[in-house]
Amino acid sequence: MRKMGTIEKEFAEDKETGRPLILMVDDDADFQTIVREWLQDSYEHVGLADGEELINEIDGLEPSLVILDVRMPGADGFKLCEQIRSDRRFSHLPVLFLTGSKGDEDFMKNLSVGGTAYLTKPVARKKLLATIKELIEKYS
Amino acid sequence: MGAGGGASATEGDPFWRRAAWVAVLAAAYFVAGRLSLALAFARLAAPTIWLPAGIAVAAFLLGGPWMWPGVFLGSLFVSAASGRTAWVAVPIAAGNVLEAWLGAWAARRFARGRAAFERPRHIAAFAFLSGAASATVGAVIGAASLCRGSLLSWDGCGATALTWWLADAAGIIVVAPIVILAAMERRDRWNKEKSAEAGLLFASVLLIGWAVLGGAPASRNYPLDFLCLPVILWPAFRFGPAETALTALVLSGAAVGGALRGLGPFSRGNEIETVLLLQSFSAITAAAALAVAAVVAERRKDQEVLQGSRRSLEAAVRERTETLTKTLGELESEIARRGLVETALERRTRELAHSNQELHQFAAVVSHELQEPLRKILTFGDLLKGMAADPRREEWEYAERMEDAARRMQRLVEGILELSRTTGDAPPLGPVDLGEVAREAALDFEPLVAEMGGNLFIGPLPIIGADRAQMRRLFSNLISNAYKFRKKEDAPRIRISAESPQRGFVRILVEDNGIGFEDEFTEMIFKPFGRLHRRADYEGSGLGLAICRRIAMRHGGDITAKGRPGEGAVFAVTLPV
Repeated sequence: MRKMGTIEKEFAEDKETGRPLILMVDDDADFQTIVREWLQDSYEHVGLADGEELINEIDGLEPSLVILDVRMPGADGFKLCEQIRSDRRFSHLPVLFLTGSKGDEDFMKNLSVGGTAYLTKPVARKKLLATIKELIEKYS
Repeated sequence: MGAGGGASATEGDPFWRRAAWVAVLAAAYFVAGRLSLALAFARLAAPTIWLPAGIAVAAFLLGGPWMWPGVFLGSLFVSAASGRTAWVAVPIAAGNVLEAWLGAWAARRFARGRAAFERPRHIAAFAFLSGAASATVGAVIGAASLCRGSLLSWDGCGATALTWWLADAAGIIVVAPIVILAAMERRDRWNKEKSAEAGLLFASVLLIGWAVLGGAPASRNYPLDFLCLPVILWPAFRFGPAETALTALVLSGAAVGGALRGLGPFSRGNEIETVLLLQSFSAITAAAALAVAAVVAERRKDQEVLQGSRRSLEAAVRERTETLTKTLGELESEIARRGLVETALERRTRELAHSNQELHQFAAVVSHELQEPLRKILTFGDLLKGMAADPRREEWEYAERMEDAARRMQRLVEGILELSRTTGDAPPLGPVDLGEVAREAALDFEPLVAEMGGNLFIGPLPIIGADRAQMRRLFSNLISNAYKFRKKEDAPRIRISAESPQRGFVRILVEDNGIGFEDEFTEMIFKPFGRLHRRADYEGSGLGLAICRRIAMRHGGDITAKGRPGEGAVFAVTLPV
């Protein structure tokens, strides 16, 4: 996971390379690492430990996609999604939910709070990459 | 009197004792005889009432005929005291003995002997046979003896015989009951009221006897004879036969006493007539009063018996009620106890189910939680392999082995998860076509088996009530097992069939021609992680058959296995239809 200070730098890099920026909020550091490894060839990945970090940082960034874990300490994925959507700039930003539970209830909430898509953990590399590609192409 | 109280004379007594009784009898006979003669009318040879005749019959009935010397001697003494010669006295004595013997015999034969005074019928029999009939013997012999001994003219012989007969009959009827009842009757002690009543009765008897029969001056002009009735009925109703007989005797005595002085209702100008009247009065009064007393006594006895049986019935009812109440109480406490036990059992069952549930939930959660780090290990292993880039490098190989271990662990966790799922709540049962389920489960293995030149045969299987998913798992595990433990040299042959071991059950057989196993391992293979071979040789979680057993048991069935090393194995799943 990147430290807060480095995010501006990342963004700068992003601009240089022109690769899409993906913000991912998940309190699981291992999973952050794994996803970063998976995405590193095609995307710029910024991992954030919680929603507060995301809210603090998102104003200065131009993400192509936000990946949210549903279950997190503090503000959960759904609340975070609502918060992001309330900013007009991000009203059309694709949001991908990752959920640990397979319950339909989560799925319904996901849609009602304005999520774009969802995947259930554990998620396979190929599936995640395919979904991300699809979302970014569709909403960019 | 012959015998008194409970000390009755019997034939079984020692000789001196019997001799003493004979002596007592003789003395009593003599005294009674003298008394009778004292109350006789002077100009008649025979007494009015011959008291000894009753004593003699009573003695024969109470003791026995062996007492005859008492009668004989007593009679001789009486004759001697009257100045009769032996020629006269001996036949008279013999006649008296014969008469008493006859009377006692008749009483025994027709009137229940000593118990004659308990029923009117027997009293009548006693009065006629023991009294009137037997008395003829003494009277005829006595009168004849007197006449033969010239103490009497033959003209008066008939009249003498008649009065003699009536005197003896009256004596037997009046006196014998008194003696016998006095000897036999077991009487309750009188309480104060009863004693007072007895005193009043006695006074009344004396008063009436004197006033009516004895010729009291005031009664001479009035026919007060009927006053005798209440006093003779009084003891019959209020006391017993003994008291009644005694009353009759006293009244007779009073009547005789009155008549002797030329007073009373029986006093007639003609002495013979007077005597006959007195004798009739005595005998009939005594017999009638005794009959009434017997009826009353019988009634009282019946009532006592009735009351006794009522009391015993009541006691029995009370006892039964008590027993029932006790039983009821015991039953109630038993029910209460059982209720407690049941409640405890219910609670325990609930607790057990709860803890079982918790255990399974725990197992499920643990398995689930274990899976996540395993996935990470696998993913990081994959990343490592990507970094190593060349499969020939050691890093690549180590990462691969790490992944292998993690995958094995993953299978174990999945197995445990499934095992814990199979032991949870009972599955919903629906009709399941086992043939269809078996064919589905076989799909994965058929190509593999076919490739090796073997075959997988599925015979006709029934439709049963079961959990479909679990049946699928069952067949899948068993086929997988059969395939896994095939012989390397032979093409695998797997055969699934069904048979019916008993009503309501079906047995599914899964046979293979694989490596088989020794009998001793039959149980072990169904235990979780109970494997017979090295993991390197046969891959697996070690839970497949344990899950099969769980599934079979959850369906109310069972699974058994039979193996022959090198030849194959048969797994038999028994399930209720």
